[in-house]
Amino acid sequence: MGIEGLKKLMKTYFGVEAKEYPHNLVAETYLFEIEPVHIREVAKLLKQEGFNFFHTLAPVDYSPKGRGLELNYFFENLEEKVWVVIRTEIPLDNPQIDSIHDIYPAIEACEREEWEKFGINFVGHPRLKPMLLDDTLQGKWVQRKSYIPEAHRS
Amino acid sequence: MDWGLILFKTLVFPGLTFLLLVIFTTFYLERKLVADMHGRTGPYYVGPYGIFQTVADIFKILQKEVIIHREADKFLFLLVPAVAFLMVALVAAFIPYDENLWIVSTDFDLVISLALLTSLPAIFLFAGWVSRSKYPFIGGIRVINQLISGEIPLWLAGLSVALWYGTFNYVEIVQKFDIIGFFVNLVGFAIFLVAILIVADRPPFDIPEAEQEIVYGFLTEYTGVGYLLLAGAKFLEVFVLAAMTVTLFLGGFKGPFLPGWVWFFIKIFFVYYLAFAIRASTPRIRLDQLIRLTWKILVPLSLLNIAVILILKAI
Amino acid sequence: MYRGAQIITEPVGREGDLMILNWGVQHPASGPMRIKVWLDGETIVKVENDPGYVTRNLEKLLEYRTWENAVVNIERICFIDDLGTLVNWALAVEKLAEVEVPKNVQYFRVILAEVGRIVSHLIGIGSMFGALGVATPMMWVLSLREYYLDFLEHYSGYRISTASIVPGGLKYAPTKEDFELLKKAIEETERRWPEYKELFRDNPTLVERYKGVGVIPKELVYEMGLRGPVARASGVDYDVRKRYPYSSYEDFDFNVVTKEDGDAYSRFLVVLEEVEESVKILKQALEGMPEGDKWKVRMPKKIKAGEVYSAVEWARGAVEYFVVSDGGTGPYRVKISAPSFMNIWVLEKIAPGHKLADLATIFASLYICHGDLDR
Repeated sequence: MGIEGLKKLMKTYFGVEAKEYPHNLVAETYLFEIEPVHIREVAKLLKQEGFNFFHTLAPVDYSPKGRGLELNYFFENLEEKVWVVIRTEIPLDNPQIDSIHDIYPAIEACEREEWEKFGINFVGHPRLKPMLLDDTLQGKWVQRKSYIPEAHRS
Repeated sequence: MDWGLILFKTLVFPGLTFLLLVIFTTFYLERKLVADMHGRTGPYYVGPYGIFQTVADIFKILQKEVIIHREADKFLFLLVPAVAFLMVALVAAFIPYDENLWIVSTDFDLVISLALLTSLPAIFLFAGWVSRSKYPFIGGIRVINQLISGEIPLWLAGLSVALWYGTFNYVEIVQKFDIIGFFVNLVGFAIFLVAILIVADRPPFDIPEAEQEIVYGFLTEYTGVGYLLLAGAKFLEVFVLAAMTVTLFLGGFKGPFLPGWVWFFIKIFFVYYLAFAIRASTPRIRLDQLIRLTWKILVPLSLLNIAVILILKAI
Repeated sequence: MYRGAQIITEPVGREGDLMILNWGVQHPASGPMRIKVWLDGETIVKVENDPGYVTRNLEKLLEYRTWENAVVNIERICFIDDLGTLVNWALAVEKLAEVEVPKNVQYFRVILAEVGRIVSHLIGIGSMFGALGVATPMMWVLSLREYYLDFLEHYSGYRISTASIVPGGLKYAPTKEDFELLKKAIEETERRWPEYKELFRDNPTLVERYKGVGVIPKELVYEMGLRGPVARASGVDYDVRKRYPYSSYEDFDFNVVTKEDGDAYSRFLVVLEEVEESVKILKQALEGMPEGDKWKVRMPKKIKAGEVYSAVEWARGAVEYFVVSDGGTGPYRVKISAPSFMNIWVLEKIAPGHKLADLATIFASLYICHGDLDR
């Protein structure tokens, strides 16, 4: 149970080392950089090891820097006060990753929001339909760096 | 029979013009008193103490476009407010403001008043029904539920007074009123007070027009004149019910030194003040809680009240 | 061509025996949000949230701002309590730039954040009564709120949206009169509070309407990632101020208010009692205010590349930012994780089975701010 168990399991199953993540202001945090295909298994492991509180899903579009779309999942272990960041990268021309809404129900709305803003296709998500944005902005993926608000002003 | 006097009574005082004045005044009083309880000033700028604010507001409403929903039944939609206003105004004809100050006085004043008031749920349901809109419809259904459960205690409490004094005539009831009668009917008075709040949709029983739940109930789709008539009918209903309370339980125009009609209005102000204070302090209850209150507490209590009065009468 | 906010295109009306009610956008209690309600008579069968009517897409706007003038967008996450979000932004950017602010700035930030919390909670209490159709408590708490707004106005020039906390310190140095006004506000709160508390908490009709309604069990808090008063009312003592102290919160003695029942009444009580705790913190901060007249530290125009995750306890719960810098004069990317956005989705789980009248009370007790729901 806990972060020690998680480190060990991540190492044995996926060969991923835990890295220190000093950028989190609030608490001790570890970073795991995984392959996008493993997200469901990793999420199950996290749940099993007591990381039961989902915080944020934060995608970052690094396409101007020559990289793809980086996804950061933030989880917290409420008993140990330890946080975990799951980081993975998907290509921008085919942004696709498995949805983990059934493992962490709190993520459902977050995935829906990121689908709307980044165009990330969360496979298996039950409700990928417009939520926050105006009809005129649907399908323009406003949060991507390629979207310039001035160019689309009417 | 002096037709001129009757015409004056019906159209001016205590008839139609006076009733319009009552709507203005009670609306103003409600705003001012509730504002005072809120720690606000209330109407202030239009006229001295803001007394013309309500007049201005009513004329503003009159200027509004009458919008009729495409699906609505146009004829009934416009007819219902007029009927509602008429029904309530008819009840006002029986109120004795002073010993000789009434429009109609019959042997069955009380029964006729109650019967006319009982027509209101049906009219309000119609108002919701012909609007062909969801919120008014829910409001209409709620009116039926609420008013039927409120009217039975109202009837029973009102009739217990008639039993004690042995008459349905308002003037006779007032004339027979004494301190013993007041104490005998005290339970009936309490039941009647709660029942008039329920029947007139006053807070905390304003369930059919609960703003935060169903917008404005059956009034939602009405604008302009239609809205004014319906809202006016509701204001008049409160006045009529308060006047009935005063007449039945508080001795109407009876009182020392001052003229009868002054006493009448002092007493009616007391009832109004109570209603406003309750409005400013009590959150709204839920429909199922209200129905539980009426059928499990008020109705048995008013039946018991009648039984007690019958026994007392026999002694 | 602008076609207005989301146009409702799907057929509305009925679905079998159920009536579909659009509880919202234009509704006295919903705020700018649609809640689709499937009704069987008066009973709620199903609920679907449809937010998005006040979306400004702040995350994108922030990418076009510099580090300092981003506060203008940051404080508009929610206008009711803008100060907590500003504290978080300042913390995040200071961490990125590796700048430390002096103790007196930290203390004054605590003061501002707690004033923001009180201001927000007072409106919350008022609107929880407002959902029951009685306006008196709202008027009373608003008149009390004026004292705090006077303080903010004197300090920053604005009653709400003060833009007073910037990365590197404070925009304005507080003066003696500011502290006098704040003391007056605290005195007024302490004078009125016992009466308010008694009247609000023991109101029998409120208890009747709120108790046992909209129960959120503890498991659902973890499952749905709920934050703030909503989580604390279900017995989860998650308060960032206590759990991961920031901005010198460890110096103050206060309690985290938790309730066990998880119903709407507990949520109301948590909000009510947190005002007292905030007043306690304010008094301690005023007493222990460290000496110092340096209210702003020099911040670099460009901040070296890096990323930071920061969280503070805001009025509605933990508001969290993920900020990425690429070495420019402004953020490369900001992700705002707001509590109302996490909390609103529990409505779909707890509302079915209740009466339509309870929807207003449950919604009010979830303590949603549409600004940070849509961002």
